[in-house]
Amino acid sequence: MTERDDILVTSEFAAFRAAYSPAVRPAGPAAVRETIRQRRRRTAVVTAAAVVLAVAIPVGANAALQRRTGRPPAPAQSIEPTPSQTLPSSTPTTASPTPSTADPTPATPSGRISRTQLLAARLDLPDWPWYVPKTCTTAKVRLDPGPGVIGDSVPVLLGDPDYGDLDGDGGAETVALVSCRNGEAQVKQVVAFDRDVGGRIRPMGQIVGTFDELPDITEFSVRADGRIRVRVADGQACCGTPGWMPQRQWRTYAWSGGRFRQVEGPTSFGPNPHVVDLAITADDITWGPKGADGTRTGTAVVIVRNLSQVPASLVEVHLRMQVGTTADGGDWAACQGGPPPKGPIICRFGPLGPGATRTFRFGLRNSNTSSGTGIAEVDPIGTEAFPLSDPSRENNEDRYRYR
Amino acid sequence: MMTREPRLRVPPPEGTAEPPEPPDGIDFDGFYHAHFRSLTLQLAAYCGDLSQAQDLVQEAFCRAFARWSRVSRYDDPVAWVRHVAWNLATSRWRQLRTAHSWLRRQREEHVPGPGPDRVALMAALAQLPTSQRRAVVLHYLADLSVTQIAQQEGVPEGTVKSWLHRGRAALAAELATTNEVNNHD
Repeated sequence: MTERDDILVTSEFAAFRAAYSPAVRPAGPAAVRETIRQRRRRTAVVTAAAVVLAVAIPVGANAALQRRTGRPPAPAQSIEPTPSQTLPSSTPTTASPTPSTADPTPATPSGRISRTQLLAARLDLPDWPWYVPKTCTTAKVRLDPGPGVIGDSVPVLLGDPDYGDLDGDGGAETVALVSCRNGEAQVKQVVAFDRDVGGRIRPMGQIVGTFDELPDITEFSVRADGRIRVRVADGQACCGTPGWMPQRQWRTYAWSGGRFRQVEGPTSFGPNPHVVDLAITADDITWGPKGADGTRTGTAVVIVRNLSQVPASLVEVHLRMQVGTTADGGDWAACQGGPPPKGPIICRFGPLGPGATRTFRFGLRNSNTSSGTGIAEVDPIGTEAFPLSDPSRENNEDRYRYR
Repeated sequence: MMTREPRLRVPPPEGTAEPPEPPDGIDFDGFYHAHFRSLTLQLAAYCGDLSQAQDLVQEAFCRAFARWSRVSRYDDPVAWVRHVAWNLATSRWRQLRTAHSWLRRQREEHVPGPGPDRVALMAALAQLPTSQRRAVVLHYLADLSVTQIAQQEGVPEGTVKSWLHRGRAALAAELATTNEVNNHD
């Protein structure tokens, strides 16, 4: 069955080959040479124009600009073959009315776009996340050169672009990291750019952008095989997030099936070993009867929980209340260094494992007759070499009454 | 999957349509003439358009010529040109060129095509999903082995076998129907 199919298909292709082969009209290697010669000349003109611009002679610069735009940008116009581009009929096959390849292929301008050129152009960008300010635009964007303080939330070109043949078409494309400020943080995307036949810079697509599970992008490079390595992080070191906190990974992306997909490296971060989620509850305190020395005692029942999958090596509990209350008896012995002396009522203890709960019954002595509302706080400490952070703060304090 | 650098060190199997060339001092003109026709036929079968196939292959040779000192030293320069041409066939370059080619063709004679009987294969190929069509054309027109197709497409060999099997069956069924209809006429 399969063999019969094979024979049928083989003979059909053989007949196809025989029938179509005479119809192929090679434009010829001379046309190849001419095309490449023209492309190189065009590149040289652009380079010369750039030099004129660099020495900043206004008149010269204008002339250079005019020369650069000598090819009208509108595709329908610019790609009409002009007489100067028409090939001499150097190969026998082009003597008769010629098939489409006989005129030199219009130069596909290089997709290698410098930082200066990116900053000078009006670019279309892939979409930003929906929640960014309206000033993070995507149409005809003039990128801000950054860095420094940028007052408004506008698209910024971060660092230098890198280059490589991303889609395996034999020509180079450009990869750049752009950002836009959103509140205190920045949204970022790694974008590939190319030039169309009219020489205009076109976005090829977004390689990767920041989103909820991928809060930061810090570096990238294009590999020799056209794949793009991107360094990503699970937190942005800014605005209260210390630099040691984010986990960093290299992920690799490749152009495939008309878009960029991740092809190598981890696809998620897993729990960040620096990030814990601690919770605290504290019961109200009722002072006992006044003793012979005029002080009263009570017990603070405090429950501390580690809701995360990450162990907390050292944790600090702080009971904030009016002056005149000191630690006295109960579970203070479980604290690092024993009961706190006069001053803040603090207990450091650990470790507190993932999912673990610890209940303390702290004895307190009150020397005045104060009553009021206290605040019990819990914070992760970790060690100097391996600090901890708890970004989800809403469960890190509890209020209690004492009287 | 066009994400990889062409596998340039893989020699083609013996007796293929594109024999390996001596690695040193390949003459570009000879290389061009030896392979332009066969590559164009492959792309024509894939795109269903001979003119466009010629454009794509010409552009691939241009890109090869631009870096000829390097490409000519590869063990299998044809693999490089073929890979670039196939990638161009699916790239934005082709989309950008399509409007241009169409405009230009309004003023030109059409490439004289073969008789309508041969159009049946083009039509049958057009019915196949892209991946199957690529595999079938690379196998039957470029004479590539399953291993070589897997390398060019960047997929496991089992995937290529599956594409070939399904593509061939669908093609045979389609062509059998066409032949029957023709016989009844």
